[in-house]
Amino acid sequence: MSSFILRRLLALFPVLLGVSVVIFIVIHLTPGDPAILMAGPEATGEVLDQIRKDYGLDRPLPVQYVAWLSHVVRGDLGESIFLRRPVVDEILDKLQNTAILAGASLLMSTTLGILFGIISATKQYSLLDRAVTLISLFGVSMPVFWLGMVLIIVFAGTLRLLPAQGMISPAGGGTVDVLRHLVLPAIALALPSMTIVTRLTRSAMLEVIRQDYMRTAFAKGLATRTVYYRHALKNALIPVITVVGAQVGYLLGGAVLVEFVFSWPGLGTLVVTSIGTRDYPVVQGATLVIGAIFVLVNLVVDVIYAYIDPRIHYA
Amino acid sequence: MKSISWFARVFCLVCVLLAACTQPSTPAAPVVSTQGAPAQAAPANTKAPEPTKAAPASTVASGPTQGGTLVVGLVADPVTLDPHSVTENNTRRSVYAMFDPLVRESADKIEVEPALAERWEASSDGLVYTFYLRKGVKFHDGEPFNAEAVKFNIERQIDPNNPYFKDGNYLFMRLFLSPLQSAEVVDEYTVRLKLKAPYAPFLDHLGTCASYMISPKSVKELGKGVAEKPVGTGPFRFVSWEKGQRLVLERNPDYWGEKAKLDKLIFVPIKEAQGRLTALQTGEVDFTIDLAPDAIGIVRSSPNLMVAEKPSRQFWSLTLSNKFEPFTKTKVRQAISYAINREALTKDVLKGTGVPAKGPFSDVFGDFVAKDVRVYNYDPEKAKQLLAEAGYPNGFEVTFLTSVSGSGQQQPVPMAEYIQSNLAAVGIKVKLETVEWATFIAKWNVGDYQMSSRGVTGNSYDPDNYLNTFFNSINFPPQGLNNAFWKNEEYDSVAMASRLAIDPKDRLQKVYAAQKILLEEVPWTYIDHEIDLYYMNKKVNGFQIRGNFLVDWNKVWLGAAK
Repeated sequence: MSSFILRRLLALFPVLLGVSVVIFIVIHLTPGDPAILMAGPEATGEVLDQIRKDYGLDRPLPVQYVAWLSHVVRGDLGESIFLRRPVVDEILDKLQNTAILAGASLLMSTTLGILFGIISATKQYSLLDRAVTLISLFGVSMPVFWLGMVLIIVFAGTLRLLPAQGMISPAGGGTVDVLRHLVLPAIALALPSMTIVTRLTRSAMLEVIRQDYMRTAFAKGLATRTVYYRHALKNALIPVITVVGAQVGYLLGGAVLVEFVFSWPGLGTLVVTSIGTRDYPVVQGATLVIGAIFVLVNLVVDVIYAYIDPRIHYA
Repeated sequence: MKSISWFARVFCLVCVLLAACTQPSTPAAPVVSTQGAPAQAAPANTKAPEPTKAAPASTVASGPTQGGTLVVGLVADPVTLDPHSVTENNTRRSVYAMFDPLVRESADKIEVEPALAERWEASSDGLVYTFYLRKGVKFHDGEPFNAEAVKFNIERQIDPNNPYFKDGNYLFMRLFLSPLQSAEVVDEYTVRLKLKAPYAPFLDHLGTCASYMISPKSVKELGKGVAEKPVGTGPFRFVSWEKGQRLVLERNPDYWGEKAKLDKLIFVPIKEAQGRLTALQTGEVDFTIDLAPDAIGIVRSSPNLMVAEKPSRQFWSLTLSNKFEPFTKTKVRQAISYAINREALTKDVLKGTGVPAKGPFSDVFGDFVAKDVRVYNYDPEKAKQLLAEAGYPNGFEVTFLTSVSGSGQQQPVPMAEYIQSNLAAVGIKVKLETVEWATFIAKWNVGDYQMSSRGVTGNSYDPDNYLNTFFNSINFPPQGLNNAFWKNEEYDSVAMASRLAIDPKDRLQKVYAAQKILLEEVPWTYIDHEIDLYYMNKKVNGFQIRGNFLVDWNKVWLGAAK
C-alpha cells in the first residue's frame, strides 16, 4: 500500500507539468493583451511597451514558460500583473473561502444524497421513490447558475429569509453571519451533485439487496434496519465513494459559476476575473493549485476505497 | 412503516420551522406607506432634468442628519487603494472618498475649482504653474500637507530614479499629465509645477487621481503597502479592506472641507447585475450602479427605491475603418449616419438609458459644443441615394466587430443587432462578429476590423480628449487610438492648433472648426450618449454626482429608513 501511495504522489509532478503546459499554451494563444487591459483603453504605444517590458511579456513564449517554471519549483508563483501582489497570497486568501463553500456543499450532497438514495431503494416504486426521482431529474438538469439566481430571487428577494450575496454582511461578520450567507450558494452547488449521489446510492443499494447474503441476513432474523444499514449500506457505498471523489472536481469547477452569481469571494471568481484580464501568472498558479487538489483528493478516495473493500489491494 | 414514519416526522418538523421563519413579503405589497414620502421631494432625485445639477434633496424641511452607514454596491472589488495606480472608474469611486487633488472639476460648470490648492497662476507662456496651497490641512496620519508633500507625490510618479517609482503603475500621470516635468518648493505653502510644453488641458487633468495627495510618511513607511493602507486628506479615512468582501471607511472628523455626514462608508463588490439589484431591493446595499436597462422600471416602481440620472460625457459610435474600401468615401460614411434611427434605438433598445447624439460632444460640454454643424436625421432614402452616388447602388457586405460587454459599452450586442437591421434596410449587409471584451480590445485598439463600435468616455471636460485622441492622424495605432486610420490634413492642423491655443476665445473657435469637419466627414457614426444612472434607497439624500462618475460622499446623508 505505501509504495502505491508513493507512486501516486510521484505521479503528481508529471500531471501538474502537463496541466501547466496546456494552460500556458491556451491562455497565451487566446487573443488579448494584459498590458492594454491593465492600462485601460486610452493607453498607447510607449506606455504599453513599458508595461510589457516590466512584466517580461515581450520575451518569447518558451522563455517565459521556463522562467515561470524555474520560479515555481522554488515555491514562487510569481506576481499578479493586475493586482501587483504575490500570486500565492491571492490564491491562499481565496482558497479558504472556496474550501468553505465546497466543503459545505460536499457535506450536504453526500449526506443528503446517501439518505435519499437509501430511502428510494428501500421503498422502491413507492410515491416517495418517485418524488425523489423527479427531484433528482430536476436537480441534474437545471444549470447551476440559473438555480443560484432563482434561489436568490425567491429566498433573498421575495422571502427575505437569507442574504442575497457575498460571504459576510457589509456591516457584520462572525460565524453565524457566514453560515447564513453560506446556505443558498451551498444548496445551489450541492443540488446537481446530490442527485447523482442519490441515484447511484439507490442503484447500488438495489443491487446489493438482491444478493444472496442479504437473504441470509433476513433469514437469520435480523431487524430490517440492521440489515440495510449495517450490512447493505457498507457494500453499496463502494461505488458511491468513488463518485464522491469525482464530485470534488465538479464542486471546484461548479463553484466558479455559483461564486460568480453569489459574489462569493473564492478561487473560482479569481480565476474567471484573471482570465478576463489575461492575468497570466494568476491563471497559471491557480490552475496548478486546483490540479494538485484534484489529484490528491482522488488519491485519498482510492486509499479509502481499498480500505473499505478488502477484495481490493494495490500492487 | 417505521422508516417512513421517522422520515415523515422530520420532514414535517422542517416544514413547520421554515413556515415560522418566513416573513411577510413587505415590499411587493401595495400596503406600503408611500404616504411617508412627501417631504422627501422624491421627484427631485428621479429624472433630474437639469443636465449638470445633481439633485439636492435638501429642500426637505429636516436638514442633513448626522450619522449612519451607507453601503455601496460596486461592480467589482477595487484593484488597489493607491490613487496614483488607479486606472479605472470602479476603483476610483471608492478611492475618491479618501483623497483630494490639488484642483477639482466643478460639479456644475466647465471649469476647475480649488481643492487642496486655494489659488493658482499660470505663466504667459503656459509652461509654469504656481499653486498656493491651503493651510492647516492634515493627512489622516496627522502629518501636515504642504509644498514638500506635493513635490513628493509628483516626483514619485515621474522620476524613474525616485525610490518609490517602482511601487506603482502611474498610468494617469503618463497619459494625461505627460508634459509635467518637475515640481519645486517655493515656500512651505507654495509649489511651482513646470511643463515641457504648453498643455491646455493641464488644470483639468490635474483633477484626476494622479494628483490625489498621499501622505509622504505613509509611502516612506509602507512603500508598496500604501495600496492596502491608504493615507490621504479626504473626508473619509481607511478602516479595513477584506479583499473581495468589503472596504470599510469612516468619517474623518478633521477634514478641511465640508465634513462628512455619514459615520461609515462601506463598499461591497457584487459582480452580477441581478445580484446588485436584489441586494438593493433587500436593503443589503443602499446604493448601486450599472444595472440592466429593464431594472430601471423595476427600481422606479419600488416604493422604497429611486433612480438618479446625470447626462454623461460618454459617446457611443460606429467606428469605420479606412482600410475597408467603401468607408474611404465620405458619402458612404454620411449615408450610414443617415441610415440609423437613433430615436428608436435609444427608446426601444436602450429603454431611455441613452440620448441620441449629434456629434461626439454631449450637452454637458456646454459651450464647447459646436452649433453650426451638419445634422443627420433618420433618412434611409437619402442614405440610399448617397450610397448610389458613391458607387454602391446595391450596397455592400461588411463585418461588424462587437464585444459582449465592457465598461461604458452600454448594450453592445442588442445595439449592434438593431444597427444591422437599419443598415440592411438601405442595402448594407452586416455580419456580426461577437467576441469577449479582452479579445475585442486587442483587435479594436490596433484597428483590426472593418466596422466596429465603441463607447468612449473622456477623462475630463476638455474636448482635447476626443478631438485629437481619436481623430488626429498622428494617433494611428500603435501610438494612439485613431484606429479607423482616418486622415484629413485640414482636420489635423485645426485639432492640433486647438490643443496648443492658450487664449480661450481663440481655442473655442478652433474647437468649433474641428467639430464642423468631424460632422461633415463623419469618420465615426455618432449614435448616442449614455445617461449615468444611480440606483439607491430613498433614504439616501444630498446626493451629488460630478462628471466622470465621481460622487461627493461627504455630502450624502441618510434620511428615515424605508
